[in-house]
Amino acid sequence: MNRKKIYYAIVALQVLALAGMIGFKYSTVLTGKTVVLRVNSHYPRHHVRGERVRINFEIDFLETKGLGGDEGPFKKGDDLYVVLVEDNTHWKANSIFKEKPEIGIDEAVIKGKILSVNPSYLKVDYGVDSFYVPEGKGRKLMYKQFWEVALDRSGHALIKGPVDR
Amino acid sequence: MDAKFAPRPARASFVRRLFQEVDYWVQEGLIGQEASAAIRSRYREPSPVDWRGRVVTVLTIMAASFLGLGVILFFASNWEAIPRLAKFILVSSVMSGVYIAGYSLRYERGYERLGEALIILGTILFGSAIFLVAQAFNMREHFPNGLLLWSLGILSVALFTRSPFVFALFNLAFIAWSWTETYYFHNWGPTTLLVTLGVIIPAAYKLENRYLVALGFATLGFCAIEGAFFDSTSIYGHTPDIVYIAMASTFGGMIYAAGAFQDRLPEYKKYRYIFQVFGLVFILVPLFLLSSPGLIHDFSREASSSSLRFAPISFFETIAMVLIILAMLVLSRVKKFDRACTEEIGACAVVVILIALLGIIILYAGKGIRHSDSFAILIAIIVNVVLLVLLAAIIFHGYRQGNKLLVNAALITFVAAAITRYFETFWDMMPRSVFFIGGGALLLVGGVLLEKQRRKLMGSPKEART
Repeated sequence: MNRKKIYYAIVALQVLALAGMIGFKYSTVLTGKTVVLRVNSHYPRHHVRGERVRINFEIDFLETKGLGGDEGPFKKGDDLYVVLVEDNTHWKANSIFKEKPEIGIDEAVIKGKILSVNPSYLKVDYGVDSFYVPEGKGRKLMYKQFWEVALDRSGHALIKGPVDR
Repeated sequence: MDAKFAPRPARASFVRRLFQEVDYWVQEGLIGQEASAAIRSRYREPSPVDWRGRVVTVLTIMAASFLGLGVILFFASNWEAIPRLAKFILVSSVMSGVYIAGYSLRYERGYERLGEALIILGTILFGSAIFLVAQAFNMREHFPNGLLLWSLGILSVALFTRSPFVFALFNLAFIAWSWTETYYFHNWGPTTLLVTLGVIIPAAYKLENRYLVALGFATLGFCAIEGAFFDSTSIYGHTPDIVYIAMASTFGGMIYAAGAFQDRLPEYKKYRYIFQVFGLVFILVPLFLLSSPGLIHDFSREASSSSLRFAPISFFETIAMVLIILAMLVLSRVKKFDRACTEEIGACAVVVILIALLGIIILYAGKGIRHSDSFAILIAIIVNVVLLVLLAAIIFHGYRQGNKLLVNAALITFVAAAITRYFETFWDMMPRSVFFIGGGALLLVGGVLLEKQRRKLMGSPKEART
């Protein structure tokens, strides 16, 4: 293979990597389970790359007392699997696990990372705290209480957008 | 002139100066025309276009950066105007086009610098494309993965082009990935160290670029600090500042020793200056900080308020660096390097072990002892004595080697330490007017004496090396 072909292959691989990112996103959205999560507080925030809405989901703060699953101890930085069940308007945390649990057909699991540990609650990051929007649209989404999130089999989450309930 | 010697690569400023000197030597009858021609033939005549080449490089790199920033902002701000998939196609096309144009200019049309700048722009666009795609499709989960992907992309281009700029960009992106993993996600492992030792530093030496070598060793220092930081983010609690200080001085000792070692290897001699500067900064600044009783008091209080009783990563990293210094000491003996080399490395070992021991005392002495003023003063006296002896040794060694850098660094540190001690000791004891008059007079006398001594030292070096 001559040098030019190697160089073109490197460029092609970079384009493929970008396409792969989009493919991953679409596979999660198309094949994953969609749940509706409630937002505790959220606010639009400007950013140099564009406007985005910062979202704090109800399940970001987990009161460990009422939850099933593993009892801990939990450590900052550990992975956490949260089993969700649907409850009227939205999905709520039901139990928490350190390893990925087997779930029922009416359940969903979301994977997060423990940000801080408190005696009564855990703060968890699921990687779905930002939603990029067209310029000037962030403020309109400020009052949306319910948001759709797609979850793949491993519990990886992707935010789809707000829904009316 | 013997034709078997090819012209040696050298900086244009050095060659210009050398040729000027050679002309003087011929005029003064020190050498003949034949010797002059022989010396001149060893180096490529600096061309007036050399500096223009450098300007072109700077301009094109700046242009690449501005273009990259502009493209990022353009795509980021045109949300509604461009559909998401179209945005991806557009970004990918622009990136590929820039890459291809860069290749064509650099390798096919002879516009080396412009081509290189476009290739750099391509790598910047790849990074921005990753984050624009993540943004457009609302992918935020574990964002350091984006930095890792970008680093891998840049590395592939760097390995192909062997461009120092692209390698430097890879190095910086890789550090950014490693730091975001550790800082935001508390993921830490040997990957950064392995890549630094296995890819970054060897590539820098392979390209024979001293700035890349400096960046590579800075990355090595970053690995050490990152490990100490992870100690505090994991279950162990907050890492006290004294741990960072002890690690920094050990790193400095290791770097300085590595410089002394390489100074005796002809093919690595050119990196000596970088290692000496790095090493001296990392040895002298921690020592300077530890020479103040007030700061020692603060370090002690901070250490006693920390829940951390043992910082495993910092501890093992410090031990590893001390062992590396000792290994270099043994190797310098085995390879029968000159005595000055062994003395330099030996001094590094003694200083870093001493600072590490003081760090351990500050960390683990009983609370009652640590909080007392006499403890801080005792440690400060020990450090000041060590600092004074070390500075005297550096000045002596600098004189012996004809190395101005060493002499000047030691003198600057000495003056800074003397001023600090003067302020610490007499600020509360004297009326302000007397304080400043006394201080000014002392500085004046000290300055004259130091300059006299420095001139004496540097006036008759055995061998002018700097």
